[in-house]
Amino acid sequence: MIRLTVDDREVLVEAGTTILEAAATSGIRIPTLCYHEKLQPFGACRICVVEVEQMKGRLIPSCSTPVTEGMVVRTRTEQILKARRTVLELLLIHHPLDCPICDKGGECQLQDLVYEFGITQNRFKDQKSNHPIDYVSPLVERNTNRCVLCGMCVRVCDEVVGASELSMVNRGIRTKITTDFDRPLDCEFCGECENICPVGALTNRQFKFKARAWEMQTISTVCSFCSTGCAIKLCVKNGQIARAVGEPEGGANRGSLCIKGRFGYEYVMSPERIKRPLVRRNGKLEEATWEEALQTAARGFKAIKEKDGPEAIAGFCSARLTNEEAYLFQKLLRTAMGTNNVDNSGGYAHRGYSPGLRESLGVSPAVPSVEDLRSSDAFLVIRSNVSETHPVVGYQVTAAVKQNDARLIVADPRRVKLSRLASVHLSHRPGTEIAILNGLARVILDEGLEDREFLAGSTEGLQGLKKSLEKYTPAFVEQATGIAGADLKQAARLFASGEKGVIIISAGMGFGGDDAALARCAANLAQITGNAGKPGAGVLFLGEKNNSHGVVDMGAEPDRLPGGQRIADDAVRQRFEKAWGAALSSKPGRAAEEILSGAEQGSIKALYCVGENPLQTYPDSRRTKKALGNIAFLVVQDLFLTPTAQMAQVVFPVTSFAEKEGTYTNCEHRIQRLRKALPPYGETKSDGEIICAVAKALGTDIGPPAPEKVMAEIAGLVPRYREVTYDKIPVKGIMLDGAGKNGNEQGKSEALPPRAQLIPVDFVAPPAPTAEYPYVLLTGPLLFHSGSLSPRSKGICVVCPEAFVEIGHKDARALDIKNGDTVAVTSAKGSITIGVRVTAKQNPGSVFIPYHFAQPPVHELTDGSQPQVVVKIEKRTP
Amino acid sequence: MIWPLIKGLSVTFKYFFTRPVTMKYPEERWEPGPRWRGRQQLLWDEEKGREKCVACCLCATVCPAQCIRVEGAENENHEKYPKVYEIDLNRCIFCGFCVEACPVSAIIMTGAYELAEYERKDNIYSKEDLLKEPQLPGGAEKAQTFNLETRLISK
Ligand code: SF4
Ligand code: SF4
Ligand code: SF4
Ligand code: SF4
Ligand code: SF4
Ligand code: FES
Repeated sequence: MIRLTVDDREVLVEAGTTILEAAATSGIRIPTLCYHEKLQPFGACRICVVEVEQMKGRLIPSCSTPVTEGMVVRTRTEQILKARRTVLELLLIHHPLDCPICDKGGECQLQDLVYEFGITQNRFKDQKSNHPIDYVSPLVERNTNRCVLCGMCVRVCDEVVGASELSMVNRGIRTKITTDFDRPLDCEFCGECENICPVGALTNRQFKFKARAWEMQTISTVCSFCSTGCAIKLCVKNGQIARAVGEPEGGANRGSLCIKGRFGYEYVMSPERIKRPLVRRNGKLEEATWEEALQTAARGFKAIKEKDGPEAIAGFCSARLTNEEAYLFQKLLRTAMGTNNVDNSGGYAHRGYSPGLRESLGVSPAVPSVEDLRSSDAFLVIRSNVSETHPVVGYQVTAAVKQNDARLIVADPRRVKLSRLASVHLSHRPGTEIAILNGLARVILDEGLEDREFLAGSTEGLQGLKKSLEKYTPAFVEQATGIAGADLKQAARLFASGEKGVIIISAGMGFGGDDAALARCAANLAQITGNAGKPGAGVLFLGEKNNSHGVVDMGAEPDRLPGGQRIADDAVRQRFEKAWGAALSSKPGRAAEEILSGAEQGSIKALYCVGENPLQTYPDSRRTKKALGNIAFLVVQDLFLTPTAQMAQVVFPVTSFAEKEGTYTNCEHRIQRLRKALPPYGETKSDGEIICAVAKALGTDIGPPAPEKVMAEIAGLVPRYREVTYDKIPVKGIMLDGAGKNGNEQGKSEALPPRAQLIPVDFVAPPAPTAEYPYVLLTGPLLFHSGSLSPRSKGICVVCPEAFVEIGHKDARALDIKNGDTVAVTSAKGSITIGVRVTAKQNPGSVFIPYHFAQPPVHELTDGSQPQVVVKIEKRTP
Repeated sequence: MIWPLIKGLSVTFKYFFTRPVTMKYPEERWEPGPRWRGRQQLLWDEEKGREKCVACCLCATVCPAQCIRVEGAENENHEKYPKVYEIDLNRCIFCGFCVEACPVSAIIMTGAYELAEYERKDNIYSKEDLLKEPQLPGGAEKAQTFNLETRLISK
């Protein structure tokens, strides 16, 4: 600890703290223009100068000077104020001062400083700066005339986002911020640069001229896309969202956002949304009143329940429902309808990592928090293109690597963004991740790099695991995965040498091996290296959608009640029966895949789809279409008239995330609150309200839909949520039990082993390419989109409007295909026609198609029973 | 007793011989003074061929009666312009703050004071209405206007 005096106040801070930070701890504000807590100190603007007794004779920039013992600092002497005024005058020489039309006006740091220091005239005169303004780049507008050269945009893009798109060119007064050769931006369009710019040099194009900063109402809520769960502020003017900005108080993101969070909210205001309930009359969907729609739905379900029994009814819910809504949904199916056939999308397309993790680590394992990732020193990113699926988690990894020299190992069949930063990039054959993890574990055990103390103290099953790993020699792994033995060994050593290692895996990659098994493998590796039970270490499993983790916690699974409690367990069931006042079936229900095959065979007659669009998002869409066509009574609840909704008997229109209240649980098990920013669109109602109304129409009372009431009920039944009080959830959310905390706290409701289990997992080779189908098809997400929702947002579609197939250079040459050509991609299941992008990202032998778009339907190619499919490619146009 | 009556009547008779202060409105109309604050007018920039207003919303922000609604947008030259500019004269208190706040002198107050309408909605002036020079009540060819200059002179 270091003791110093700032403006006659004693301050005690850690060594390495800067004068600026030290002053802030005792409440002394020093003005800054180029300092940001997320970035390394830069010292460009000299607004933050102070006097230090020991360094007399010159002014010291406080943001980049570390404190030393006994320092005597003054922050507001006459000389300092004079220097600051001069700096501002110098900045204003070339500055256009067009505040009336500048979108930063009202929240501009230069404006504030000029006002604070009372600068009304300038002693220096020169021409105003006259750089051309960039009106071409989408989403971010650059007017470098207003730039104060603080360098924050350049640094945030490099140190945090990792896109390194901007830089400073030229020197002296001719310096400007631009890209190489002054071309328009072609980057991730996260808008972090625009957000961090203290002045109006970089601005949000979507927000351009829409409102002044002080005219808007801001509502803190949660992003509706991925499971990072970034806290966002929606700024509303005249009942319309004018922009979205990161909430600096936010738990996981600390003010950062990705393109989806910042620019993707527009679907909320899309004119394509459904306004009124629809009911099928004479084969056509027509608008109806709520009363009629609810009665039709209830009649349909009742008729099927009476005729074919409750087992013929099933329900899908989206992983975008709030916790309360997911809870009400499974309660409706389990009580009013009497069936356990309930599943969420995460449980189908990706088979859910959660069962795997649960077996290894218990119901509520310790999860490293996203914020702590910055302090981690080794990362293994496997089967997770985290920079695209969960960009803000990717920022933390980038910052850890760039700012703290953390070691990064990326295992990905494609050359992804993080590969550039990685110490080792393991470019493996798709679907062979399990062999890699086993191989890594074996190298670590062989070379004695494991954490013996931890293994002996906190785990079980080491002998069995060692035995199972015998076959995973580097030679075997090389043959199975295509990774050289030396690379594997280097990766193992690097990862094992970290103090705080994190393994990142994510759902929603849409291709590759069995997720539950992969999760188990990852848990094994984390235990072997002792990366459990400490902050910033462990397995970080990222669910695909914003509430993927929450809907699983809320029991939207066929065999588990809320809290991951087994339905087959009599004690558990009785507790729920008592609380709900209804008899529950002890027979585990059907999972999504079984529901669809049941529909195909005719044993499932009625389906209630809440926010799900299986036709577009589930593998093998032909089969899905057939299955849904077999269903006598289909009820869909959605924002848009999706392909699935078009097949329904009844369609309920719902409110979007911006129009309702509730809670989401993110990937680090932080529970956060949604807050209502807009009135409901048209006659829409929230999913929770509709579910309760359906229950009522069926003659059952499942309680009021008010989130605070539902959350109180959940807190009473789910151990992990017992301390959650809806009204008390702060903006940064609450970490649930075990999340981000020390110790591997086990679920309290279920008799689980006190120790983590090391469960051997064997590797099964994925289907290999054949002579007829020579390429492996990878389907997956893109940075710019999330699920099938974001293509409805205009701004995002400017950047990424349509689907394409990515083919590596070598394969493209062999097939004589160029960028922009059209090809037919054919698998054993079907065929689609699609445009080509030739890229260096793709390895020979595999091709990639993103799955967000309705057209062309990529899921006509995929197969639900296979983790990945093989395809052939034929050129269509010259 | 008679004395107070004479005193009173003397005042009455005195006024027989002074000029009347009332006016035979509407046959006669009063000419507003140079700093009279009547209904606002938005100015047109002949050179640039557009309204002077840049939709900075400062007038709307400062307006104590909150009767100004401005919505900015981008025109084809990438400039900011008021897509919507509305003043609700039913609520305007003619304080002139909008004129003082305007950084580009785009708004002035004219001599127009005859603002009665049969319906309230007719007193909500759109941008097009405000850009028109008002019909001035009789007498004055062009009334003096309240703008930044007249305000400064009067100080
Ligand atoms: S950057 Fe700030 S000071 Fe410059 S024109 Fe914009 S608001 Fe005014
Ligand atoms: S939008 Fe994001 S990626 Fe693009 S230049 Fe700005 S910070 Fe970099
Ligand atoms: S563009 Fe903005 S953030 Fe970048 S250097 Fe200029 S003022 Fe700073
Ligand atoms: S999509 Fe994910 S990473 Fe991006 S802002 Fe939303 S929650 Fe954050
Ligand atoms: S203050 Fe002037 S420029 Fe700004 S909106 Fe009002 S009239 Fe237009
Ligand atoms: S904030 Fe210290 S030099 Fe800019």
